[in-house]
Amino acid sequence: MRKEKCQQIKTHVFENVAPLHQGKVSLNDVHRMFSHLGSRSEIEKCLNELVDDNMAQKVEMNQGTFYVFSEIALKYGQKWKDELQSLKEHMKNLDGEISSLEKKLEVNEKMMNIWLEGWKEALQDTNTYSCLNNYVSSVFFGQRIEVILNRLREKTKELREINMRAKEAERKIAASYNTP
Amino acid sequence: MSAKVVDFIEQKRRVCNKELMNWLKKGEITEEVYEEFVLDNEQLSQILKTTFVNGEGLIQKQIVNSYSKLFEFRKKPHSDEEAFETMRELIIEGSENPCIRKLAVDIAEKTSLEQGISVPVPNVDKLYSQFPSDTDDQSIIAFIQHCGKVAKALYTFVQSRKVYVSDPPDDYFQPPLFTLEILNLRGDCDDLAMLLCSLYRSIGYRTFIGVQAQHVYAGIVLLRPAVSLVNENGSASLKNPKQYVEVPADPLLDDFEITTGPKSISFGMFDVLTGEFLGNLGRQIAQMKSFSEEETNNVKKNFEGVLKTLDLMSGAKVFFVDSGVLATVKLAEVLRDDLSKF
Repeated sequence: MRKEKCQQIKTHVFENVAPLHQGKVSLNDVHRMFSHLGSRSEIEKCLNELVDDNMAQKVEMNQGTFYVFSEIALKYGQKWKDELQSLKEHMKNLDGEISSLEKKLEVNEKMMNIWLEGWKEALQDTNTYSCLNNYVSSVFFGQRIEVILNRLREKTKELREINMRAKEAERKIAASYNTP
Repeated sequence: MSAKVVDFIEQKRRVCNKELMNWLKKGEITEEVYEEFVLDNEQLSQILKTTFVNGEGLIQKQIVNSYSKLFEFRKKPHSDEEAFETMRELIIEGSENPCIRKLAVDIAEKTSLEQGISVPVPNVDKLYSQFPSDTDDQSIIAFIQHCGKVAKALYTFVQSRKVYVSDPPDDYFQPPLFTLEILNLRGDCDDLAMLLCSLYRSIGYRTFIGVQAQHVYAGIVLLRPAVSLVNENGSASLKNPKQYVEVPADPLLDDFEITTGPKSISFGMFDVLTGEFLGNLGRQIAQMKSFSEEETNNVKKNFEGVLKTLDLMSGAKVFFVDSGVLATVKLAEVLRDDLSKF
């Protein structure tokens, strides 16, 4: 392989491919990209020059040969660590909001039960009792309970989404930094 | 009956407040949650006490036959058409209630007295039928204006006393009698619209309900004398006595204000659509002899604001309470005509 072509591959891998793969580049992928410029062994030889220049580490894994650009990998690892930290804080806040809403729901239901007890004896008129019962349970407390339940549903959905993002961040940290 | 029930409600209020205090002391709820629930507790006990105390009076006067009438809240249906049917039933029931009718009659009588009109309550039915052929123009105009003034007084009564209370998720319609007698004109847009329509309908006005996205307003069908601005004293002239106009009577709308140099004219949607405002403007023009170009432009600009509001309201579906007809109305058209005369 001519020197210029090798330089072209190294520059492209370092500037574009490595950041795109969070610092961990597979030899197979680079070969697929540049197969028109040379054979697999020629491309491997070219990438080995990056190792000789201390810009990357060559790692053999079950999935094949990889080149790890530590600086880029660390940068992305840190980015995902920061993101994970912020997601964990968000989850903690959401957990607090959810338990506060659940508590409100519990208090609402307890208060509603207190208000509903004993009317039959106080009113005697069954029609008035049934209308009052409907007002207290469905209109007054029911609407409040509905509002809390809606907020609870929103917060639980948000927590689920944040949880998925946190798992994704953990996976990325593991893939890009800890296990080259 | 009511004294015993009020004691019972008071006991409930105390038990709930005591429980809330216990939960707060045990750290089961925060100070914020405690305050929120104490407020709810006070509100519920107040509503129930008022219902039974006022209800007893209403039963004695045979205005309602049982307390249950006051608690007849209706679940809001999902479609506009079904929601309108429920509102229509509540409006008709409200308008037939002696308490609501008495209030409307009292306001009409007071207005007529203040205006020096000998007829205490206008025979509103006449608005929607043919005038006898021997009636002179001036009597017809006076009658139309009398109906307009009473309609405005009923609107002002609700507009000036209402307390807007949004109650999300707002799944229920409250009966007009509950809005008036128990909550003392507290309610959201649909509760206030139903009360106003009930007041109007109880003395014969034809009403409608405008349904917009997230908003409902009351409306009334009136006759409007054509107004000639070139008339020196700005008085109305009867060019087309059967020009009906759908007036949105939305108690949540603020009045508009037009400033013309040192003079400022404040007016509401009601004044605009009944022609009352143009009559006043005509009188002012006559007094001021002429407006400067700047003042004219200012008035026109303010008018455009009114037109925009009306255009927005015209986007609503309109349901006529008596006929049950669904329609769309061009509320701004009549005003555009006036604007062209200015």
